[in-house]
Amino acid sequence: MIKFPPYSFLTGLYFSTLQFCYLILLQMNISSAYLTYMIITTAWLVGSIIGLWVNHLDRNIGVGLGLFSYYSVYALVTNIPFSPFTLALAAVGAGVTGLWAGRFFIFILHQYKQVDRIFFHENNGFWVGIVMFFLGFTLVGRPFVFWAPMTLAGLLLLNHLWIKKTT
Amino acid sequence: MESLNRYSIYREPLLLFLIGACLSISQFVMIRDFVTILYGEEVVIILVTAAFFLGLSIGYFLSLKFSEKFFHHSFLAIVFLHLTFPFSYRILAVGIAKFDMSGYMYVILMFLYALIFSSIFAVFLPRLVHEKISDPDSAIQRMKVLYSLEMVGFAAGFAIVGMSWNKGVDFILLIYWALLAVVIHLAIQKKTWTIAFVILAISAGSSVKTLDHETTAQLYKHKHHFDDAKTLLTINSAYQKVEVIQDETGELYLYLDGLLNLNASDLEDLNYYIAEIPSQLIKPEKTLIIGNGTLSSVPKVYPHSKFVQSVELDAGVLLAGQKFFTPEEDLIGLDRWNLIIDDGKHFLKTTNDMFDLIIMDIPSPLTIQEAILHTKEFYQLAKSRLTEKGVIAVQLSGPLQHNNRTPARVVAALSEAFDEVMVINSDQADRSFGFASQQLPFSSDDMRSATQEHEEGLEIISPYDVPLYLSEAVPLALDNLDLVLCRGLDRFTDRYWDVDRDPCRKVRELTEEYIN
Repeated sequence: MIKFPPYSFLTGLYFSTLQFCYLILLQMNISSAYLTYMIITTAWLVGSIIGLWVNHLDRNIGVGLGLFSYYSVYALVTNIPFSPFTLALAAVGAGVTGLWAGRFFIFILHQYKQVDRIFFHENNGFWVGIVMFFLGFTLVGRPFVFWAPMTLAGLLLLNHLWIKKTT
Repeated sequence: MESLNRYSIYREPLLLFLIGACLSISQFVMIRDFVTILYGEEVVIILVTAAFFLGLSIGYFLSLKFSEKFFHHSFLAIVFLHLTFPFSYRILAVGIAKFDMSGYMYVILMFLYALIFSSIFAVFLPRLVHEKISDPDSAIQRMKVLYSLEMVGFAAGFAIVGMSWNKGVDFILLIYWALLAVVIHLAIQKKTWTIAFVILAISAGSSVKTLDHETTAQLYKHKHHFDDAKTLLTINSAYQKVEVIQDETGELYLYLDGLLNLNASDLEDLNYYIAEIPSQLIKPEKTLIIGNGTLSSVPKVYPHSKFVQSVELDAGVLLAGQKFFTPEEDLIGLDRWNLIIDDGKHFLKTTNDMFDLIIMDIPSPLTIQEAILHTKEFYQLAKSRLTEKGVIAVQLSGPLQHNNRTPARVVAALSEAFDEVMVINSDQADRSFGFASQQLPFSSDDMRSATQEHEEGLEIISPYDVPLYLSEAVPLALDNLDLVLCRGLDRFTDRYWDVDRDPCRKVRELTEEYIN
């Protein structure tokens, strides 16, 4: 049986860290205008909705795809921030990352039937992630934006290995 | 019969769609209002946002704990309480300030309201999915449909929030209440409650604007210690709450997220030192003004510059500025002036123009976004758009001293990017101003003679002496924005617990120990 509370918490932490990292990445390199916030949030929501309906999205691929998209956007906005396609591609990246944010709930509901607890632990991870992002970015800056998503995704993938062994 | 069937099919998806929309709106209203009550440093924004999400967590935690009957009763009680928002908690905050109660009361108030505001919306989805949990396939199908619709609703709420920018809270509240009325109808399915809510909402609706202005004025009177306060403007822009308050003497104050941005008298001195003096000394071909949403420095620079470009991000501040701080006639006929609504960084990165003078008239670095505009990386970007003898003028949010506080850290960041930094310390303006360049086109003597009539005792720190003030100062940089955290915590604890805790001292001491 999956140890789902820490896994859900970690997933929430990963989602909020990634969302805020996307946001600050774009704000630092392109613009702090509201449009940036709107594009990232909307793209993430669209990705999550699609993710709910994509039945064959494997958990490792879900996390891996999100991470790949994030670092692609990282490279894009760092190197060519003002190409006419940058913002659109960043939105696609955020959307692809959002896929697992939707699919995760279906995956975990298959494993664990307590829907209230799933949301509870995931949401706890999310708000702790907001605080962690603030502390991390103000104290460490760009290294946090670079390393935190990778570290959290690594922990999630390790968790997946453990799930595989125990189920 | 057919319509009854259709109703029962669409009831739950529609309910979840509206829950999503309400969640989005309530998040916006609550966070904006509480940030304004507690004053909008980034630390406060994070605290309030975390409180809102904690409220959601509690909602999820309790969602399956109660019977249907208890759930209906508590839902009704809370949703009717929503009709008092945001005025009831403003009045309670006024009470806390009036009776000089402990600062913890504000935090308790915030968590209590976060609980009421957000938790109720978190209850629906788990309850509805749980109903089908004995049949896993149906539960999953339900989760897909209902969660999708909640997220679509959230996006719709987001769009409604967008429509409410630069308007008073009355605009969005009326829409919010209308949505809540439908939510009551779909959730409880008893006309009596829906009708009762609608009647109350309609009767309260006519006085929302007055209540908004009055409770805001009360907040300024008691929490900001005005003898008397009148609300002239209170709107939510895309970035912050913008408020213009008039005191008993008729003086106007501009507040952004509850933090004093400027008052009309300070504005004169601020504009004089940051805009009029450098433009008078440089006689620039092209001047760029970043910030200065009141546009009050434009007429000061205009006579000395061949072209003036203003860049301001927040249309809400521009609105307040034009309505109350810079009369429209002051800007009429300025055909060598142009205004763009954009982020300063984005403008500098995308423009091809070179400037002789860049004026940075932006708030103190108390949020991440504002702090980024005070970093050495930003100043390097500004340098790339300055001519050979071009100058950047920056207000330092306080007097430059020999320490590691905001003015010293901003000057240290300027010194990292530019070869020469001159600082003037004005008692009259109650702050210092920095002028940085690769080669300053004016000397301390030029500065002295230009300002002598305005302020005799002006302290001028020459580029040669500035480094003496910076021995303890760590330059603000993208990878070192600890000031946002430390200064924010410092102000927050000092304000509500009256203690100068210097919360980051330990971190600094440990770092120094480690480095040494």
